[in-house]
Amino acid sequence: MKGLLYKDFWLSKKYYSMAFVFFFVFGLLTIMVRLSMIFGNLSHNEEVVSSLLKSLWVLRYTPCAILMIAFADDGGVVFSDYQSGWIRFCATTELGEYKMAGAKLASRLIMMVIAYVISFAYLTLFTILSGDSLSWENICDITILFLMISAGSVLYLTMGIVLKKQQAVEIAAVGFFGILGIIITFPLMMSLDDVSDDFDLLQVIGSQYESVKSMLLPISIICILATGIIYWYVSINVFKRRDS
Amino acid sequence: MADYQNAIEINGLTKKFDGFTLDNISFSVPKGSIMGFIGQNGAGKTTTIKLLLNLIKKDSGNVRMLGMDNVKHENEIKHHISAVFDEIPFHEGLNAQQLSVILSDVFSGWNKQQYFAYLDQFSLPRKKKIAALSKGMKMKLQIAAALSHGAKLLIMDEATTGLDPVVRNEILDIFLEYLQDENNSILLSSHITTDLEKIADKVTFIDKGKILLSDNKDELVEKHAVIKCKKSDYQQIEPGDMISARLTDFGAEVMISDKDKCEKKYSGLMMDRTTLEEIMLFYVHRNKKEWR
Repeated sequence: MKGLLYKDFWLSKKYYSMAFVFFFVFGLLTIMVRLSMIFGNLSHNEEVVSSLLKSLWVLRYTPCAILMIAFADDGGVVFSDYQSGWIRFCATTELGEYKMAGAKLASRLIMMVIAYVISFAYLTLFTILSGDSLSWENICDITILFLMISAGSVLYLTMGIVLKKQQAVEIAAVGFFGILGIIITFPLMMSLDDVSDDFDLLQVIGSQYESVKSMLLPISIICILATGIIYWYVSINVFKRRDS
Repeated sequence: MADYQNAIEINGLTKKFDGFTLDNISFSVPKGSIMGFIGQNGAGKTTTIKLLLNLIKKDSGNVRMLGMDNVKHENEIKHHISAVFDEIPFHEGLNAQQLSVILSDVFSGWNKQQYFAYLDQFSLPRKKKIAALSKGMKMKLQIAAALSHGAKLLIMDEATTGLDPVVRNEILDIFLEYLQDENNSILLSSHITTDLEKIADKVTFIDKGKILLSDNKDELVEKHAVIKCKKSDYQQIEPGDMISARLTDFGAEVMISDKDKCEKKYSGLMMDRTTLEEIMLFYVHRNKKEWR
C-alpha cells in the first residue's frame, strides 16, 4: 500500500504545506496573545483579560481545529483520480477494490493522525506557556475534536468517491453539514431564555458543552466507526463498478 | 497459468446499450501474434475492450484470455496483462520516478530495473512532471509502464491516435521488440490502418457492433482487390461479387472480396492491389452498394 499512500501524499503535498503554514501563523499569534495576557501589556488591562479568559478554550483549540479541518481534505486528489483516468486504469490492473478503498482511507487517516500529533504538541506548548499542565480534560477535548473532524473527513471522502466531482461534493457537504449543524444547535437555541444585552454566546456554548461533555467522547467514537463502515461499504461498491 | 493457444478468444459476445448493440461478436488473437482491431469511431472497439477487461458486464457470450475465463479468473488475468489507452491515466503532477514507486504497489510483478531501462531507451526524463511531457512522450511513458511488469498480453486502445508519424513508428518498433518473445501478444485497436498494415499479423474489422472480417492481414489484402473501370464496364460486375462501388465522374472503383474468382470472371478489367484503409472504407458503405 506504500506506493498508493505516497501517490496521495505527493499530490497533496502543496496543499498540506499551505495548511500547515496557516496553522503555524495562527498558532503563533494565539500563543503571543496568551503570553501577553500573562506577561505583556494585556496583563495590565483587567477588563480585556477577563473577556479573553472566558474564551480561552477557543484560543486554545482554534488552531488545532484549523489544522485538522485543513488536513481533513486532500486538496482534491480524489477528484483528480477520476479526472486523470487513474481509477479506470486501476480497474484494468490486479489492484482490487479493497486495496483501492483501503489506501484512500489509510492516507486520509494518516494525515488526520499527523494533524492530531501536531495539535497535541501545540496544545502542550500553549498549556506550559500558560503556566499550567496538560489535564485529562484537555486530552479528551482534543481527542473529541480529532474524532469528530476525522468522521467528517471520511464522510467527505465517501461523498467524493460517489459524486466524483468537487463542486457536487461541496454542494452536498454544505447541505449535509448545514442540516447537521441546525439539528445540533436547535436544542441549544431552544434552551436559551430571552436574549439579554449581556448575552455571551461563547459562555452559553461553553456551558452547554460542559453539560454534554461526558457523552461526546463515546458519540465521537461511534461517529468515526459509523462513517468508516459507510465509507467501506460505499467505496467498495463504487470501485467494483469499474467503469468510472 | 495453463498453456493456451489463443491469447484472446471471444465467442458470441453481446452487450446491449440504448442505441448501440455489440452483436454476437467472435474472434481470437493467437499467442505470439499482433491483432489489429479496426473500425470507425463508435464501431464498438472500446466497448469490446472494456468487456475483455471486465470493466462492463457482458449480456452473453464467452471471453477467454490467456486460457482463462475473463470473469472467473479476472485477478489472475490482470496480473499478466496491460491495458494502454489513448490518454495517459497518471496524474500530471507526478514524474516518471515517482510513478515507479506507485506502480510497484499496483503490479505485483513490477520490475523497477526494466522500467528505468525503458525510460532510458525512450529518452524519457525521470524527474520531469508528466504535465510537461509531449503527447508522444506521455504515450511512451504509458507503454514503458505497461511493459515493466511481465505482461503477456498488451491491449492497446487507440494508443497511436494523435501521435506524429515519427513517434508512431518508434512505438510500433517497441511493439515488434516486445513480440520477440513468442509468449507475448498484442491486441491493437486503431482506426489508423497504416500502422496495422506495418505490424499486424491478423486484422479484425468491426462495424456498427458487428465483426465483418477477421483474418490474417496478408490474406485479407490478397483476397480483396479494387477494380477501376469505366461506368459501362461497371455494369457487367454482378452485385454478388462486389462489396461496394465508389462512383466518380470518370468511372467506378469496385471492391471485390474474391480476387481469384473475379480475375477469371472479369478478365478484361484491371484489378489493383488494395489496402486495409480501402477495405475498411468499402465495407463501411456495403449497405449502400454505390457511393461517392
